[in-house]
Amino acid sequence: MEYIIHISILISIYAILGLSLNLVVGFTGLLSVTQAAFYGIGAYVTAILLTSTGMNFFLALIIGMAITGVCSLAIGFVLSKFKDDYYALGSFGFNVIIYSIFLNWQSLTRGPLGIPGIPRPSLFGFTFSENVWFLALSIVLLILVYFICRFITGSSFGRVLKSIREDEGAISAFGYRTLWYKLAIFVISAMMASIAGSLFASYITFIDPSSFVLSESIFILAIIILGGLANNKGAVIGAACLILLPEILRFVGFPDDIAAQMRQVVYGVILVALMLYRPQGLIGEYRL
Amino acid sequence: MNNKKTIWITVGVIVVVAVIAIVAFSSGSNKQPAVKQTVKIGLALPLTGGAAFLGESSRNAAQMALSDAGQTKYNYDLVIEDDAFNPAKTATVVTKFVNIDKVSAIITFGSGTSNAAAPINENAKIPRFGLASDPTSAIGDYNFIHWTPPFKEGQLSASEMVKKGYKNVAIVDTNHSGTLAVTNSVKEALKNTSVKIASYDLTNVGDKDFRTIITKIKALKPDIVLVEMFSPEIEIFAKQMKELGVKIPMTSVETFEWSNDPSLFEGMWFISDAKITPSFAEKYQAKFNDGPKPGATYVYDLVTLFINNQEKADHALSPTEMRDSIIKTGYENSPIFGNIQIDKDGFFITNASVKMIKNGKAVLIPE
Amino acid sequence: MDIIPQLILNSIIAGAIYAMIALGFNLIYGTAKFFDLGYGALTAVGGYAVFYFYKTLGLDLYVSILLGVLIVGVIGFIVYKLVYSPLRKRKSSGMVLLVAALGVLTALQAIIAILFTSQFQTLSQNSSSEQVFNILGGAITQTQLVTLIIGFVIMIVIGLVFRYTLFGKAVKAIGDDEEVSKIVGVNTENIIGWVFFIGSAIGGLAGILIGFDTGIEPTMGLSLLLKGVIACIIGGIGNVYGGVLGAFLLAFIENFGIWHISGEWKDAIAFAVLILFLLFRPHGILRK
Repeated sequence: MEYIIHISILISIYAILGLSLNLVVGFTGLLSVTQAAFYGIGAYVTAILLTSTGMNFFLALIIGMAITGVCSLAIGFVLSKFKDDYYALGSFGFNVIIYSIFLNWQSLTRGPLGIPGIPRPSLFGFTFSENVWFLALSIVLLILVYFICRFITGSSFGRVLKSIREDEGAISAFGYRTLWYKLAIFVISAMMASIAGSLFASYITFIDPSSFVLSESIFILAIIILGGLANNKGAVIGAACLILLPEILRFVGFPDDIAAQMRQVVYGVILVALMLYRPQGLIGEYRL
Repeated sequence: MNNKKTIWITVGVIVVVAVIAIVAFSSGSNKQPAVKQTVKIGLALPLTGGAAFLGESSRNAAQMALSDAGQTKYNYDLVIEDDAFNPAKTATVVTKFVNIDKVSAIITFGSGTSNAAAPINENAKIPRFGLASDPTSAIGDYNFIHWTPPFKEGQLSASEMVKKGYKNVAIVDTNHSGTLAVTNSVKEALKNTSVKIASYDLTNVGDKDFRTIITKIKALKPDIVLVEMFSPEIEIFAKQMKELGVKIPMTSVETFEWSNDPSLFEGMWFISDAKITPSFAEKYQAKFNDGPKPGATYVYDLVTLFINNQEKADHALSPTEMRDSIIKTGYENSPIFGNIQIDKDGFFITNASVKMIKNGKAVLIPE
Repeated sequence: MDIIPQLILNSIIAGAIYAMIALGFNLIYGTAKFFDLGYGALTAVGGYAVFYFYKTLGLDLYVSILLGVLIVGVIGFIVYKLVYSPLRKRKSSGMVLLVAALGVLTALQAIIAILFTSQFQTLSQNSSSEQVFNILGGAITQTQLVTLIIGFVIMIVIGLVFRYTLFGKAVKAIGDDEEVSKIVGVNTENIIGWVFFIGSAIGGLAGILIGFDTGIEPTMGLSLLLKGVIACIIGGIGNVYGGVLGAFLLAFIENFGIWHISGEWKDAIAFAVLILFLLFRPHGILRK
C-alpha cells in the first residue's frame, strides 16, 4: 500500500510539472526544455528555508514561487528572442547553467552532498508525516494547479496563447504584444513547477542536484508529449503512464543483469513509436 | 470522439492492471512454502546512467558473496533494482523493497541516495546499510553506514604528508559526494600544519580532458598531487600527466586501489580503507575479468554479513531481529576487513591504512 | 615556465575532437534540418564496434577501424530509413524529430550497455606507452595528432565535394531548399540517406579516435554531441568550415576558462557562450 501511495505522490508531483510545461509547450508552442531548473529552484529554496530557518512549509513554498518567478522572468526574456529549434537549444543551455549553479554554489546548496533532513510540511500544528496525508496534500495542490490551468487555457488570455502558437505574425498584426503574453505564461508555468519542487523536497526530505539535470526536463517534456499537447488531462495521464511504466516493467521479470537497461530500451522505443504513429500523444489536441 | 474514448479506456485498463499486478504481487510474496525459508535482501544500485559501472561491479560482488556462501540452511534472494544514482528513484526502490518484496535488509549505494532512503527505513523498521561517505544518512535506529569514515582517511593522509616533509600539495578533486567528503577532510586536517595547499581544482564526473589543470599544476611545481577521482578519470589523469611530462608524484585516498590499471601509480603511497584482503580483488578479477570498483568490497562484505547472521539463527529473522543480531555481535571475521566494530550511531568502524602500489598491486606499508 | 604554449596546444587537442563531432553533425543538420540527438549515441557505437573487432576478435587495427566506421554508417542509415525518413515525409516539425531522436539515443545507449556492460574501455593496447611529440613548446600524443589531421582532411574533402561534385551540389541544394531540389529532379530521399551514412560514419570515427585517446563508455555521446552542436552554432550552422572554427573557438574558451576560473564551470561556460551567440549572432561567425 505504501508503495502505491509513494507512486501516487510522485505522479501528482510530475502531473503538476506536466501541467505547467504544457502551458508553454502545448498551448503556446514554445519548446522549452528547462522546466527541471525551475522545479529545482523551488526545491532548493524550500529546502534551504526549511532546514536553516525552520520556516513554515507553505510560506517557504510561496517564497520559492516568488524567487522562481524572478529567475524565470529573466530567462524567459532571453528565450523569447529565439524561435523553434533555437528556443529548445537555448532552454537546454539554461538548464545546464542552473544545474551548474546548484552543483557549484556549495556554500549555499552543499553541492553534490545535497541537503538532507528537510522536514515535512505542517499546518496549524498538524504535520504531514504520514505518506497518506502527504498524498492528500499533493492531490489538493494538483487539483488547484489543474483548475488554474483550465481557467487560463479557457480564458481569452489562453486563446491569445493558442493563436501565438498557430500564427504569431497574424496575432501581433492585430496589435497584441505577443512578447508579454509569452513572458507571462512562461513565468506562471515556472512558478507552478516551483510548487512541484517544494513538494518534492519536503516529501523525499533530501535533495541534490542530480534530480534537476537536463534529462529530467526531457522527461517532463516526454510526459506531455505522451499524454497529449495542449490538453490538461493529457498532462496528468502522461505523468501517470511514464511514472507507472518503469514500475510495471520491474515486475515483468527481465533477467537481473539487463533489467535496468532493458527499461531504457523500452522507454526509447516508446518515444520513437509515439512520434511515428501518434505524434499528438494519447489525447492531445496539438501536434508538435 | 470515439477514438478518444478508446484511449481513455486503454489508459484505464493499463492503470487497473498495474494496480492489480502490484497488489497481487505484494500479497503473493507473503505466502512462501515452508520447505526452505527464503530471506530477501534488497540492493538499490545505479545500473543505468553515468554511475552504472559502479553498480554493475557491486551487483557482481553481491552475487559472488552469495555463491561463496556455498550450501546454506536458508534460501537467499537478492532483489536488485536500479536507482540510477538518483535519490527520488532510490526512495521508490526502497519503498518497493519494504512493501512489496518484504526484504530483511537493504543496501543503498551513495550518500544522496542513502539520505533519501533513511527516513523510509526508519519508518518501516527495516535495517539499511548505506555505502556513504557523507555521515548524514545514519539517522535513527535502522540506518547504518559501512564505509571508512572520511575524517579518518583525511587525518592519516595529512599526517603522512607532514611526516614525509612535503611543503605544498596540489589537490585535484571531483564534484561528487564521495570524493568531496574525503578532500574536505584532508583540507581540514592540513590546516595548521606545515603543508600548504598550492592549488585546488574541481572537475566534474565524466570529464576526460585534464590537460589544462595539469599544465597549471606543472607550473606551480608542488611536491605532490592529491588526486581524488574515480576510475576511469583517474587513469586518464595519470596518462595525461605522463604525456605532458609531469613527474610530480601523486597520492590519493582510496582511489588508486580502484583503478583498472594500478601500474600507472607504481611506487606511490596512498590511503586505503582498511586492510582489504588481496584475495578478494584477485578472486573478483578471475571471475569477472575486471577489477572491483568502489563499493564492491562493502557490498560483498554486507551480503556475507547478512548470510552469516541468518545462518546462525534457527528461524528466518525479521528485519528487526536481523538488525539486533548484527549490532550484538558486531562483525567478526569480515572476509574483507577482519573484525569490525559497529558504533552506537550506526557506523561500521574500519580503520584507514597507508598502502603503496608495488608491481601493480596495492600492498600495506608496515608501520 | 611559460604555460601559454601548452594551453594553446591543449585547446587545439580538445578542439580537434569537437571538430570531428561538429563535422558530422553539421552535415546532417545542414541537409535534414533537425537536431539529431541519436548522432551522439553513434559515437559510442563506433567505439564499441572497434572494441569488439580489435580487442575481442583480435582483428587487424586498420581492418577493425574500417569495419567500425562502416557499421556506424550503416546503422545511421538504417535509423534514418526507419525513423527519420517516415517522419520527414509526413512533414513533422523539428520538435517531433528531436523527441524521436531522443528515443533513438536512449535506446541505442542502453543496447550498447547490454551488449558490452557500462564499464569504461580503452581501445589502445598499451595506454601508457604512446608516442609524444613536442611541438612549439608543448606536448601532443600521436593519437591526438592523427585526430587533428583527420579532422582537417575530412573538412577539406567535404568542402571539395560540395564545390566540385554533382553529389555535393545536390546536398547543398537540399540544404537550401528541399522542395525546389525535388522539383528540379534531385532524388532527395536517396541523397539524404547517403548524408546520414557519411555523417554517422564521421561521428563513429570520432568515437573511435576518442577511444584510442581516452576511452569509451555507452553514455559518452550526449555531452560530446552538445559540444558539437555548440561548436556548430558558434561557427556557423550548416557551414563545414564554420563548425570546425566553432569547435576550436569553444575549446579555447573552455580551456582558458579552466585556467582562469575553474574546471567545474566548464559546461556552464560552454552553454553561456552558446546563449550569447544565439542572442547576438544566431547564424554563427561564418554564415552559410
